[in-house]
Amino acid sequence: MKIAIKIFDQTTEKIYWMEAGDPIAPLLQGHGLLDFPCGIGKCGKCLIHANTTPCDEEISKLGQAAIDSGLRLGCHTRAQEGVEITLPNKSSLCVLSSFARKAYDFTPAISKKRFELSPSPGDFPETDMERLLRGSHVRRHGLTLQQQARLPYFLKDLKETSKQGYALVQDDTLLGFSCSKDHHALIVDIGTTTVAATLVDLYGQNVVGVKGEHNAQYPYGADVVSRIKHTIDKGTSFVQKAIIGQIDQILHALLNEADLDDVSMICFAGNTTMMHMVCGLPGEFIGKAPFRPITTQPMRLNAGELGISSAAPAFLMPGISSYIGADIVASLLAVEAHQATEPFLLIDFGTNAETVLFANNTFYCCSAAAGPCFEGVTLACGMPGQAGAIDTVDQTDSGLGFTVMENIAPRGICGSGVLDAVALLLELNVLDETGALSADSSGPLADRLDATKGLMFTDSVYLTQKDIREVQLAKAAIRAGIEILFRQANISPDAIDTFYLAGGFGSALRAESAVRIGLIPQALLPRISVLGNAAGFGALRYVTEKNARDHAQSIIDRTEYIELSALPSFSEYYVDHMFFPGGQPMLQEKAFLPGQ
Amino acid sequence: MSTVFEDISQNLQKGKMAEVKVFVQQAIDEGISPQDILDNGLMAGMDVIGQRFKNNDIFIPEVLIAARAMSVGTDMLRPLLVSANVKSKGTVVIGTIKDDLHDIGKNLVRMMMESKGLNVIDIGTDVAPEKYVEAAIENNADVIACSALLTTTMVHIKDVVASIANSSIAGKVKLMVGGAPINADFCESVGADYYTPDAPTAAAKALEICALAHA
Repeated sequence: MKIAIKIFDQTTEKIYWMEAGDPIAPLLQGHGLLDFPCGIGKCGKCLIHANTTPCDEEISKLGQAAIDSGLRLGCHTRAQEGVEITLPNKSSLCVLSSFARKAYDFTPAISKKRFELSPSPGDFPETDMERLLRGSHVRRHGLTLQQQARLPYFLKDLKETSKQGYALVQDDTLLGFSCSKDHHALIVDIGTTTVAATLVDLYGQNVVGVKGEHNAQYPYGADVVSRIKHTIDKGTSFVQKAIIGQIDQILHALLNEADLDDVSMICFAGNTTMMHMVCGLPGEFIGKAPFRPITTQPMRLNAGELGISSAAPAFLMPGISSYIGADIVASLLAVEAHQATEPFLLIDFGTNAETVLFANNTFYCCSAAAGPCFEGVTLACGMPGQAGAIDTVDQTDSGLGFTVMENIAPRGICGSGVLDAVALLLELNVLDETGALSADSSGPLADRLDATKGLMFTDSVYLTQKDIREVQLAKAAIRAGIEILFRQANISPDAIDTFYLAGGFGSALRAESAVRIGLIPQALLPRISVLGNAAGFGALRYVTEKNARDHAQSIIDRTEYIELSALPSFSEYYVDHMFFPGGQPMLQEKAFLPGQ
Repeated sequence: MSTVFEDISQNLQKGKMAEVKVFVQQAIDEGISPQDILDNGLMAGMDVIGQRFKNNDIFIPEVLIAARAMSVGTDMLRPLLVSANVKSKGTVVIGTIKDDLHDIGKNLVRMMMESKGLNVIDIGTDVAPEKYVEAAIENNADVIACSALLTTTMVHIKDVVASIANSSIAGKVKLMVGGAPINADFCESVGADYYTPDAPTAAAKALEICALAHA
């Protein structure tokens, strides 16, 4: 029997008809109304308000106080007569749009050439294509059928209105035409969590607009593997439509703000899964051993072919492997890695920590599965770096001091705050090197420690013992990746000239805290260079710097990718780094995993 | 009651291999039966470790270190147990599912099961469904334990269910499943027998299944 359920979403109220007893998750997910980070009822993040009878799992995940306030989990809620659901307010998103910018030879890949239409030189009328090519002084074209179909009307219109026509040309190939003099590029960094876009004026070489949003694929899973799972079950079209629709909207919002009709080119960078999904390519084999992508080659398509309402050529940057994608190639371009001579280390912290070590004229790289703990997903009070997140933690005279993003009441704790908090607990000996929170309550944090909630910032924001275990797993995976690369290159951290931190978390974290918990080697501390949105800047360079496409290829040709999960010694390194640095714990000998 | 059990258990919990060796030898010299040393010394210590791990008091490295100390003790007792004709409490075949290379969680479960006195056959990672069944038949196993860490690979568990159903051990062997993306609903939906959320619970469940099978 179909029953009506009422859903309140901020200011709107809608009624949906559902089969009684069916879970509401597919409905909310299908309409993009709610994120289900884990999708399997484990993470406790898909919070809603509802007047349902809570199930045992909801009670155990949320606690009685939250249940009493009407809080429920979306994934455990089923349609029943008279149910009313209120969705959480979506908070605005801070996306990193700044980057350490450097001057370079600015030569856009696409140039905009005026063309002149003149009468046919011979007796027979030329084709429209011949007229266009001759008028633009190029010999070849790469126009799509759709563009060719528009050609006669475009040329007729130019003639009738006496407008100036322009050709979009790469090298000796015509890729588009327009009657607008404007020359802009859209640069898009497609992250699994966020999408960051920059609109750049190619004449003025300046940024004219930026926009960041949560990736619209979020309802299909928080991490790449759950997105891939969704495409295996439901096909590639949902995730592709979600991201393409989002990019289309972002493009047109930026064009509107800048009063433009279209861009001259688009450049995409992103991890290999995202690059597959933009193209509608199945990512199934990225998600399974031996993790083989369909392609990591660079592509040049027409935006229209991808379903974006733009006639611009779209460049898709090349990647390296399933888990070292085009976004990392972009970050490497941003630090001019193609001409590096001194050893460097670059890490982009995220659900996967992509790590690149340059030494011996080789880019050794690996991707450590850290899990989303530093993005706040798996922690009891974790949240992304948004308004209300505790982002730094310190010891003060009165005990515990912390700052909250945008100075509002704390709603949770984000990655940089977690690092600081764990480092402080270690410093005050409240946390021992094995990761056990001490029950001793005599120190400066005595009134902040609770037997079940752990370190309490407020009554509702805290860091539990279990959260600390999550941090241990994440930092052990990342550090193991770093150590394995050093071993592979046969150099020590002392040899590193520069340590580049890319991405949002990398830019926000306090390096001293990262060293204190053992996430990064101590020797790297004085050599840190924070890059900000390096992938965005690198993608811009990819399409606007002379020879940048060759530079990217020269980097890729010199990479050595190490698949950590296939490396037997990874487990040893991983377990070795689960403890925090400190005195000498009982673990004198190297931790081991009994062989099989 | 001999304090030697307490000495073995305490040192095992701290991962002290040399001391475990000394006290196990002392117990043997005192004429205590190998089964009693195993049950009241080594396994008692490992039980504490399992419980503390479950409570988040200790973490994976401590469990691994304790398991290493335990294996020193069991190596000393094994020949005595064989000559005393002590029967195993049951046999488990364990492996990580096809297309999945994760092995730490699976290894933890194996060690916890071994510490319960079960005979555990570890067939590694990236294990094809039919391999579980072959190993179970070959070793006359009571339980097949299947681990998956990825949402893309957990789907293969239903192929293990099918492989068992089409084999000579259908209905005899029980299938246990676990791993980060797995839950009780998933277990039920693919027709596996048991889901357990962590390594100590998995070991207790396997022991329970084996005890029933051997009753």
